[in-house]
Amino acid sequence: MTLVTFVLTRVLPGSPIDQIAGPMSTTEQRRALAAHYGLDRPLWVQYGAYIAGVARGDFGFSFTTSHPVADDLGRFFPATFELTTAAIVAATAIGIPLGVWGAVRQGSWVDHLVRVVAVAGVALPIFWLSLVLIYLLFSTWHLLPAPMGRLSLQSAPPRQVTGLLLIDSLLSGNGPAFVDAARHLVLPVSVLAFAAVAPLARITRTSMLDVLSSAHTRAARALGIPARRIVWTYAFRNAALPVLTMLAIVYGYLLGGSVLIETVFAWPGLGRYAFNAVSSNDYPAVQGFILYATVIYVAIFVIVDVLYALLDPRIEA
Amino acid sequence: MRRARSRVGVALVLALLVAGLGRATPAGAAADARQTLVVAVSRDMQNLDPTNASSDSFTLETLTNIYSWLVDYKLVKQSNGQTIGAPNEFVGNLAESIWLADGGKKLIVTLRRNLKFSNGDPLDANAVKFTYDRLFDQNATTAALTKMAEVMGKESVRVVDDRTVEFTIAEPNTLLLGNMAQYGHSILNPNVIRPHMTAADPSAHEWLKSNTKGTETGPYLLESWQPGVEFVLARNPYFWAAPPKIPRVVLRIVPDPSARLALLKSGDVDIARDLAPLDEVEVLKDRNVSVYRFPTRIVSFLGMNAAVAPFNNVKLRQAISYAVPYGTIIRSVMVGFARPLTSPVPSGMPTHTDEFFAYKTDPARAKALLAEAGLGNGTAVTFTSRADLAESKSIAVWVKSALARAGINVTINEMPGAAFTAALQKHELVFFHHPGWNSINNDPFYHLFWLLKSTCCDYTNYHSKEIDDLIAKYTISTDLNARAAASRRIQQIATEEAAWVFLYQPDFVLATRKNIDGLVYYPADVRVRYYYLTKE
Repeated sequence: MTLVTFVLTRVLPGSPIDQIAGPMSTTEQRRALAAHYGLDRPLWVQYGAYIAGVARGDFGFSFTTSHPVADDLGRFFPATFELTTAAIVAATAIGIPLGVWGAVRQGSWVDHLVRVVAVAGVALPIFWLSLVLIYLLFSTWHLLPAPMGRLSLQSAPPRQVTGLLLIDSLLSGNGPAFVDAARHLVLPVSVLAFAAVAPLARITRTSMLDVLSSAHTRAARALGIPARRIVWTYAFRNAALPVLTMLAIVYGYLLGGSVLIETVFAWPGLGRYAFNAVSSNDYPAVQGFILYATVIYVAIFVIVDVLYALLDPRIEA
Repeated sequence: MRRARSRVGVALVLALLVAGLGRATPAGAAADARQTLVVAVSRDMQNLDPTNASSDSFTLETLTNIYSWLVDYKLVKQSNGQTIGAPNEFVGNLAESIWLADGGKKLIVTLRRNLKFSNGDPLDANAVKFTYDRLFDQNATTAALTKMAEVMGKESVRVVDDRTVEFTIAEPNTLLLGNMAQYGHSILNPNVIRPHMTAADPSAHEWLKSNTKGTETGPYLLESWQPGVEFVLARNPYFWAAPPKIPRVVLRIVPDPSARLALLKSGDVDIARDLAPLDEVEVLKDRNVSVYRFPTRIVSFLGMNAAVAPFNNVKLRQAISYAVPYGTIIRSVMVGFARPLTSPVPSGMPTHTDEFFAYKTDPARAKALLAEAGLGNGTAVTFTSRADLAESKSIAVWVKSALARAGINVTINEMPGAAFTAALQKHELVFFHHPGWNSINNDPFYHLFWLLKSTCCDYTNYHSKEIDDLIAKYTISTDLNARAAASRRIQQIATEEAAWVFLYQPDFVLATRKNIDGLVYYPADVRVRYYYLTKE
């Protein structure tokens, strides 16, 4: 993975030196800069040095922010994590009941609603949706704060413990900061959740339909077990595995950072960091980000595997 | 029971949401609102080492607001009441006096009394010497510009006494003061910088890239910098002149231009930078917003690589110059926020003349020239535009449709910004849009040297023996009449030979809330000095 990223970033046209040297620099100055940053060494030597650094937790320096990449990832991660987690919680709370409901009342208006939501969530560009919501809820009705980051300028940020503003403000007993941070989250979370509800509701519905039409559900019905208990205790548990997988995929995808949402809401998260890094050929930052995204994906799927075993005793850890 | 519980839950969530809605007014906000200027900027700063800074606009603007240098532009009130920093008139800044002695072979600089850095350390002639020693040792962009003006190295800068420094000029010239009046010549605090100078990094470049604490000399100091979020300037208590009217400037990074527009219209920010041209037209109608608009000397052109066929054919370059829809580009792409460029030397720069500019959109003339060039109908060329610049993309479309009418088939090739810059700097682009070059020194030979002769920036590989000779002869010269005549001749050749397609000089546009006043415009570097702004 690191090798692929390393080679890919370097075969793309342009180099970080083009960005940092300035237009009037001479060839000698560029050469001196390349030597200063070790970019004049053979690729395999650079790669060796990079891997040795990563083993020590040193991801190198970002050319665009002038800070260690590890510090940058640590600084931008909480914003993305808070936003994404809030969105995935909201999407789960809405998407799964909606999917179950659609399956139970197949063909009813609820079922149609689920399908409309699923199509809309995929079809409406979230960029457009964000701008419409900003226009209505901020510019027109003044219900929500300005889309300029995680806190208003007037709010004193809480003492940093986790980097998650909601938790840090609670820990430091800073009520106004908590309310302010929560209000700033409403719009971007709504948009992200809206996009995430669609796949969750769809897979829940399909999976539930399968289980509800199976022999064991019919047997349970025949035994006179109440419908609610059949749906939530027997059927949903059996239908949960594909839903969990989808949840992991969506969560992993969102944790990679949503460039569009973070751009529109001036959210200082990893999506924007990665986008800036890619567009200015910032090799160490791109490599660091991809390594981070890989680790996050693997971690999420390990957790999912553990949950599988808990949900379905037939799966041995 | 369960149903009742779920209803209570729903009600609770709704109540929380409603409680969260509605606009909270933080206490004391109104009282200190006038003390803080909030600016929505499009991107973060990068590398703050003054002598080797990254060339993005907000890095350079911050350096301009937190550092001072020896020589600066003189403030002049124009007949329309607008004050500008006159790009060709220089006064002392940290210097109490500057004078050229020995027939222009010496520059004697006397510092103001009791100058201090932002940490209270005294700023004296030794700090100036330290700054220039470091600059020449580092040998980066600022060193090159200083040597260009014939101050050749460390030995050319001598401390006379505590307050006096003497610069030796190898050959008298008109470039020195203009090259010195900028961030690269920020005087640095040796007490702060020296501890960060190491064998691996003798110029302390790594520290200066992201730190300024204790070495600022401007009206502001860099109070904080949260990468990706904001950077904050606060009043420098040791600034040598009157303190800034607004003591704090918060520059919040808002990458999306529509969001910046919304914030300006709602009053959540005082200034929105880098609005899209169409948005600028929209805010003109807003009664709560002022739109300042100033002409620049920035040149935007279509480059045609003269080292590559068929662009080595002067007739083809002329044909294209007759095919391009100049008026449409200024009206539709720049929505009027630009003026025509009619020579390689922009309007506003001494010696500029538009008398050789004969090109106007004339497809029949273009076709005739194409035939003279020996190229038939249906000649195919590829046009490169920057994928990350809206105006570049629109220009590509207009160029394609206009050249088709003249019998030239254009294929558009969009390149990502980083790849475009790399190819531009290697002079590998063949037919492309250059979004804008600003010569900070308002001297025609400074400008012509970089764009038509230098190895770095003659992006189109255009050469003319006569132009090269004139630039070599007159860049370093104090004979103003001979220089003016030579500049005129260069403009004539480059325009007639269609060195570029001369497109436009974009305006500098700044949109602020109505209560922001006092803006002073600096045409030389087109950077905002927050120092002068007031907020009612």
